[in-house]
Amino acid sequence: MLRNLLEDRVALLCLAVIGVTVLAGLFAPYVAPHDPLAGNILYKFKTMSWNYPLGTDQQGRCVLSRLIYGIQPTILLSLVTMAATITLGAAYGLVSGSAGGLVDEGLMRFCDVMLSFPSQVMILAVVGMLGVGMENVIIANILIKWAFYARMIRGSVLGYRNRNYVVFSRTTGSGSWFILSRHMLPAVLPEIVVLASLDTGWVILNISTLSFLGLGVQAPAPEWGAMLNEARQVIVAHPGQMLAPGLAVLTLVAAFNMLGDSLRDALEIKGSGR
Amino acid sequence: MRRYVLSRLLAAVPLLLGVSFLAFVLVTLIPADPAEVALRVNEIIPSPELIELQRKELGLDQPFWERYVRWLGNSLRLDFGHSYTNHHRTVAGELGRCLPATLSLAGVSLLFVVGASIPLAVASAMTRDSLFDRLVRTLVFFGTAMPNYWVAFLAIWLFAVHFDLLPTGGDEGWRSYLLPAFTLSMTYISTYVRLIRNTMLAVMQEPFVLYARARGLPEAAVVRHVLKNSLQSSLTALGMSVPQLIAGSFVVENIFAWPGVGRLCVSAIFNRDYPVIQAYVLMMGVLFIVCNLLVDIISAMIDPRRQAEL
Repeated sequence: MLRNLLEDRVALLCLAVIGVTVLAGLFAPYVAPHDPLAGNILYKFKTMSWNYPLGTDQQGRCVLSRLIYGIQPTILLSLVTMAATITLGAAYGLVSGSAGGLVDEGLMRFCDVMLSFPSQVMILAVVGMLGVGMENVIIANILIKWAFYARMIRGSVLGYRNRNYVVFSRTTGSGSWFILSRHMLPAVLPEIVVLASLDTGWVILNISTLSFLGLGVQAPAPEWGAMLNEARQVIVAHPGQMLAPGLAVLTLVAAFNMLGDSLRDALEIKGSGR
Repeated sequence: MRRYVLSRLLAAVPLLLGVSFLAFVLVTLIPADPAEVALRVNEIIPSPELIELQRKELGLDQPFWERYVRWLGNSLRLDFGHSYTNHHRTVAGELGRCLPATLSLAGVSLLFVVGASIPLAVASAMTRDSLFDRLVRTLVFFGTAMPNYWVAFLAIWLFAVHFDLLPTGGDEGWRSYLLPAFTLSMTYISTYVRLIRNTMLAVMQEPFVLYARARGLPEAAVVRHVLKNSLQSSLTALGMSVPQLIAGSFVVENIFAWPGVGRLCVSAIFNRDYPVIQAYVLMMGVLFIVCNLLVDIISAMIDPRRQAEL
């Protein structure tokens, strides 16, 4: 699978885009040319120049620096969200699948209720009740997706439970934790990786949309959705302000989506027994 | 068939209870005291006596389960109480006032989705790997990766500001539907073009298509058969898009100042108007379950094999 992936130029490009963005986000204070919050009112709405590569916004703040500082709340938080979602879903699914019986039945019915709750409504419900802010947006995103992963992982556990090598391992006396972590998890991992890549793009869109509406990251902080919200106020006079953050979101989400597609292809090649 | 419908209806009952419980329990998780919030949003300075009074008035002094049962009973009669910010307005009245705008926007968007995705998918699948097909695939790809609020912006700037053809927002006749409905339907169009195109390509490999061609049927008739067999899987997805369009419109409604329930809910979030949020969540949850039920029943009527899947 890894070799197929390395031969895929598109996948490599996507990985490169994501990698560079994450690095730039982590080292934002060293990479960014200016302070993202310090405005210079005499230099507002400047076009591209050496000093301000992407120009300045309505408060004279450097757009490029704001974009770079905006990576952290966007990508890093969505990666945290995905990690938490998968951990929660995996734990739940593994327990449910290996417990079986009434416990399994009860846990899965609860999953059904969670899944029947539509994502948009879940976000409004959680953010609405717990209050506006990034933590609650992340909680909402985890609540939306975990049941999906839980159900998928449970399905795979049931599918693999009676495979010969698992049965063999059990008869030789391997503990259930060993079977779960060494036999089951590697079997479902590829599928999880594909889904996680596609879902990360979705979470990024989600976080930026909510910040745009003012429900996530709050205004002066640099975040791509929040930047677009500020750009919205000057749409008539300076429409160019909305280009950079929008393109940034588009590029990143496209990279995660394409990576997910390539990973899926790489898996299918492996699956067809080549 | 009757047994199938009955068992589906019975299966929906625990789901409905679950959703209503979730909508209710979220209010009890509020970090602040709802009674205090209800006072503060009306700019009354809360004193302990006032809070106690307000708690009684809102019924917050009763045990949890009693409150839940009473709330559920009231909700069944569409009585969601009064808005915190507007004491003389009922929540049900507010939702009723805003719902038609959301429904008509979702309806127009659904027309856009069906009207655009089927012809695009068919044309794209028929001319596989042609320039047109590749163009459609590129558009579809960007359609799913672009933030739709950003597309809304670009559209507002181009059509409303630059060319001054369409209104920037509000509900002022049919022309104000175009931009919001386009923005709302964009993601769905992309999804369905991809889905229908891929299903059609798979169906075209089936023996009955080869047989139809061997019999010398005209190409148009072959396409009709392929399409008929490809649309069934999309029909289920399309049925579920109806509630998604209704619930997902809150972003678009906010951008285009559309007087619908999504905008009502977002402004309720900013005003901490909990009864409105609660009623909105309950309404949308129920809507999803009902739509899911209808889609299941309709597809079982079309394809009786589904009735066996119980």
